[in-house]
Amino acid sequence: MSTLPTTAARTAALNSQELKACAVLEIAAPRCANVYGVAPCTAAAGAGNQCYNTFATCQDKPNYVATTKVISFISRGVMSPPGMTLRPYLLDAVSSPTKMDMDAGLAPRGKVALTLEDEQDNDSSEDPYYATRATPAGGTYWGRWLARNKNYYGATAKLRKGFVASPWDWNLFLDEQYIVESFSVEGDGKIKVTLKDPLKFLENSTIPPATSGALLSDFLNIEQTDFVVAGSSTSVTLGVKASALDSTYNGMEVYISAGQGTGQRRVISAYIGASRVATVTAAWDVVPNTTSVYEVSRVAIALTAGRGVQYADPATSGKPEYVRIGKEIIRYTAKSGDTLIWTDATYRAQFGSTREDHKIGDSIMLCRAFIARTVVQVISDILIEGGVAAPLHSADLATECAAWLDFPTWTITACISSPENSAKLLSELLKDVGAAMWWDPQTQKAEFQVIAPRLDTYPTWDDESTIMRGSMVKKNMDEKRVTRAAISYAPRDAAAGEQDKNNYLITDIAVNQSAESVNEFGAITSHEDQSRWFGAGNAVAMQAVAMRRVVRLSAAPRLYTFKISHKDYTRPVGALIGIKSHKNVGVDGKESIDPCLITSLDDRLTHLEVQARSTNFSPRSAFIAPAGLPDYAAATADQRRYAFIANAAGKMSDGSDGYKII
Amino acid sequence: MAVPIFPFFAFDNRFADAVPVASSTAVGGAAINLTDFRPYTSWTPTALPATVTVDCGTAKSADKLSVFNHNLFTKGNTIEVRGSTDNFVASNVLVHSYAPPSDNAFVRDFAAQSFRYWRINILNGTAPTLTIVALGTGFEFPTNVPYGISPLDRDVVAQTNISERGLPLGRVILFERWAEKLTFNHVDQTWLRATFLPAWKAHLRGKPFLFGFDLTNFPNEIYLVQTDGKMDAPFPLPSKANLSINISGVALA
Repeated sequence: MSTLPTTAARTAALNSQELKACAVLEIAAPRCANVYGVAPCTAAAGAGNQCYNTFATCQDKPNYVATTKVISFISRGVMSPPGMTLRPYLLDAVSSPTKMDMDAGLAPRGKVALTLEDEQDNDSSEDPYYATRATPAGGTYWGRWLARNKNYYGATAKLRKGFVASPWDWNLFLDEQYIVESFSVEGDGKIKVTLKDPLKFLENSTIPPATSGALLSDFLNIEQTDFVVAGSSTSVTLGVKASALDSTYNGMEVYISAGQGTGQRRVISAYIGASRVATVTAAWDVVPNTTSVYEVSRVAIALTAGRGVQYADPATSGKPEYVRIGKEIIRYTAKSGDTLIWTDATYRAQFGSTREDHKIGDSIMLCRAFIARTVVQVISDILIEGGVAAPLHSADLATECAAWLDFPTWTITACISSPENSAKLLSELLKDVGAAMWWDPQTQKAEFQVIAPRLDTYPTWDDESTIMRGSMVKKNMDEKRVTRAAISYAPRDAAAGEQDKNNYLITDIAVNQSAESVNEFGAITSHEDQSRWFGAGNAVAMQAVAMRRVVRLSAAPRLYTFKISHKDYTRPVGALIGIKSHKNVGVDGKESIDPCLITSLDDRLTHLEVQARSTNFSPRSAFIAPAGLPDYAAATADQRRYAFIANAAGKMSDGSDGYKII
Repeated sequence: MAVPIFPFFAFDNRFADAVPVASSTAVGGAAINLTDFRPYTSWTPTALPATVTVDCGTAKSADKLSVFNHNLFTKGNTIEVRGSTDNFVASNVLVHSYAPPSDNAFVRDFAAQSFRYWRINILNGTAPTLTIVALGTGFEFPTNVPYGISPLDRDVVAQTNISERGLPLGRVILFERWAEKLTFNHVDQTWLRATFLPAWKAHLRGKPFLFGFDLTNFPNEIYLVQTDGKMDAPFPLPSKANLSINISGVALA
């Protein structure tokens, strides 16, 4: 479980009764590292006419050297320490923080809208050559900045929230990391900058990437087939309908599909049109004769000239590569310029697709196949290929997968046969494995958690010392209740629609009959899902996902929203807490502790807005207890978080419901 | 060389008469930032001694050096004020020298002198950062403000957090606002028209300035303030006026 970054100074400050809060926005704006007119910069417009060291104003774009320059803005009313240019432009921040979503897989993008002041200034901080300008800069700080900087999208932005001290101490700050999405000039002249979490990059990318190659000639299911007319150790004479043109079948495969020599494949090295004799590159093991049926097929296709560069080369990508033409998926094993090559015709019609005829001009789409990959590998690949670099992946991705998803039954073999939105793909996979991912601006990582019972110790947040007066709202999420969960998996054809229910070979269902009984909910609430990521070999995993969903959602989960002060700002999103409030009492009217996951956390400087959702593993779900624990009757509350064996009636010694193995 | 005994404004600045030139400048901090009355833009030299020099075009007078938001004490510096008639070729007159005992804002008073070229010279220690430097003629009121002014007033913008059961969970201060209404009774009409109004039009009505309430007794209580743009000056007597203006800024730490 990730923890919030902190320092000794910050930990001490959080416990202070009085804090002076402030926020600092830092934007790492793109800049050129060159000095105007100094090599490698060849621009020579002269003093007063220089660029502004931004790409938009660059006078020698081929020699532009990208770097960044951090510009900083602080809350109004806070004095900038000497030596730090923290412009007091930061007027307001409105957050829509990331919300970890146990059901949606990938959380919606977190967003912060900041309102900034604008003013006239002397431009010396932004124009490295201001002293040489013939006339002082006009306009305002932001007006000029926006005119000179066009490529701010995606720039790293840090929102540093902390406390003022003398001397200034950045150790009192906790940084939130975002990317810049947009700037706007508001009606009152103020500047609005919108920040989003870096998982936004996933929304702008596709997996596989789009490709634009097309067939340069017809590409048939079988180029030519017939009975063998005659055979020799290194040749075969084709039927009368074979081409009369020399070399027509050179480089193609001849396959004996029936009769003598069945199953042999050879590549044709030479073809004589007049005699229809095809010479093969290696001698036949069994020489075909007139009982033999042959099939001549291509083992290479030529793409539109110059488009080969768009296609991955298996020699360098280190993984099997596939293309889709029409409804057929073909694995290719080599790339030579604009030609894709495969070993033999068995490389066609992959992932349940159908071998078929293709016409000149048909598009050739690069596919993204995952062959015998673990869940963590596939998620990492999607993140990286979607633009979220490995340093932004939480270590929890590996540890959680190792604990819950790193077994052969979770091994993934699947093919994405056309470009799809990376965020959608990731969300789909996360739902299929019963996990959640979200961007945590404080840990500055894409966090990951399998929705499963947890053994973490957790603090109790209660009415007395944590929850701020009048802030708590508790909502029963009845709309989330599920009494039966069905999951269809093992797609027949990876080129068919993912939503087509008829495309799946297997459906498993988990049902909580007790929950559906007349005396309980008295209704069936179903959840249906399809998974193209998992095949017949993943049955145990898919059954576990369905079971976990029913176990967790048979009863409506509870959603708590409330405020806390900074003294309790020690747990990140995804952390376990116990909520003890008069708004959540047992049948005896006493406050009970509800184990919850923090699903959202928003530092508003004066307090924090928190959202937490009950973990809801009911009936009880837990790990098997380690050796040495006492019997249930003598166990402590902490020890009872492990699983104990119930009696024959499914009850524990105190009459409570037994545990369930999921 | 009398320290002002009446309320004092600092805004007149020889360094704003032309573009000041620094002997050296660290990246991101130009000497022109010293004149903009912004406590977040600064000048930092890269080597000491360091100078900032201005050519005023003609000889101009100065009798005060005001420095706000600096670390001259922390960096162990001495600051000198120098004047010259020939851009410090043969003429180089030491007007004032001061080693600040703290990093608080300060106003130094010296006998008025006129030079075409003015300079501050930073000596000793390591490179400091200065944000506001005003070297010019101080604007001193002819009377004190009436009894009752309360310069220590401050308005804390904060939120107090309490738990569901009423226990304190901490108080978070966003900032402290400082505001005063300055009233000067029975100021001379002639002074009002000849001295105050030009200053009002030139600077006070629209730009920030430094304000010292009582530099003799409270030399460290110097505020960076601005007016709300409103000035009242009713006449209780034919030759006198009751001048009042509102000023506000951020409270001192």
